[in-house]
Amino acid sequence: MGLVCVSDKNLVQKVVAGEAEAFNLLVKRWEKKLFNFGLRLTGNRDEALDIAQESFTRAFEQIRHLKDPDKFPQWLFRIARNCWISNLRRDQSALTESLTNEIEGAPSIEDLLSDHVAVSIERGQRFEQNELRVILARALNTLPAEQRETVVLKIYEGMKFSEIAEIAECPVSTVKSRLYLGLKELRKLLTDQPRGTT
Amino acid sequence: MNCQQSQDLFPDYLGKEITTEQSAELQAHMKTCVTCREELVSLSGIPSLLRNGWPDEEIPRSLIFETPRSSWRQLVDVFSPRSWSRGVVVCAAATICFILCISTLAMLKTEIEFKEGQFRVSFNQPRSLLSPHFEANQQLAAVPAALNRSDLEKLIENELAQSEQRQNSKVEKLLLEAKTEINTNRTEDMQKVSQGLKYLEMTQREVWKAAARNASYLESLAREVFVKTSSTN
Repeated sequence: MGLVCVSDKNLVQKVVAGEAEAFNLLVKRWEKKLFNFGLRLTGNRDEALDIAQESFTRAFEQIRHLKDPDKFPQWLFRIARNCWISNLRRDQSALTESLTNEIEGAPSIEDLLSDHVAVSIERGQRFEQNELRVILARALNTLPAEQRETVVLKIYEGMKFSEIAEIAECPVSTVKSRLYLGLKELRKLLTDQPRGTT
Repeated sequence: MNCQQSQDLFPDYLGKEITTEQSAELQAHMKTCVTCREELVSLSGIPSLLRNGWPDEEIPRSLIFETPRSSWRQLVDVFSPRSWSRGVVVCAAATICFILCISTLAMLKTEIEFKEGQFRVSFNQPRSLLSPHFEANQQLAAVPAALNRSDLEKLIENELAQSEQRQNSKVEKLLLEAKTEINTNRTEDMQKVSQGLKYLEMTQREVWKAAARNASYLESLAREVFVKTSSTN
């Protein structure tokens, strides 16, 4: 238990040295973040859990190849992101509707975002938390994958552009561009602008 | 700063990575450009909407798992003290201490004797006074290390008694064998004597027959002579 306050770097070094239990401390530290990362990318809890599980398994197998233990979080998120992309490629046509199905009789995004049911930032409080979560999940799901991951990593995970660039393996300028485009697209979906207009 | 330069800074502003200088330049542009100001204001509410509308959820189940290990690592872990539970460590330590104690006592030739309700411990006592010519070496090997003089005397007496018993049994066996042989020989002799008597009887009978034949011949001859003599007279 004395390892709880140890930094990620030290834990990584302990895992590399053979202390498998140290890896479980890393799992305990990062599992919630990784699960929520996967959940916002996929909108599906089971899939998010699978991604997190697979990511930790891959991380344990490859942790010896981690050159800079200080960058363990970026490295871990990159693994999770790669898992998600692999799943996307494997099942491109899969629809993620579990969140929608959780609320019996929940209105569809089309209904919620129709011209007559305006969803404005200012009037977001009109929705129950579950409904708003459904709306946001569906809105995020409509974004292209690279914009979605950028928005999730920046807005939800609070990562720096440089860290996101490492995870997405692209230039920082590309990350900024993706964030801007993603937020603009979300604004289009979530504000009371008529759908189909720019 | 023109509108393009201003919009290039939007991601930095929205991502909260804008420097103080950039922020000042952006604000200066916003004062003069309504389009950019409205664009940025409408975008700046999206991140907070996303965060507040979909906060972090608790993970349904913990992912702490039995870490997959390579076979060599599993083998190493089995022998690694880190993988041992406290109970196993205590048991192992107790076993090692016990073995060390026994080894030490053995090296010091410790003899522990319980006699008349008291334990007596002695070190470096000669192990045995027994003669190497004793036959019961295997039994001696099983004799406890702690032996006093009386025990040794008893042991010697026992061994002597057993030896005497073994000698007696040997003699008895020899006598039995001799008796059997004598009986066999006597039977053979009796048979031979019987055969000799039979032969003697047969021979005697022949002699008797011959004597009888001679007697009858002499009698007939005497009768014949007597007849002849009578006739002549």
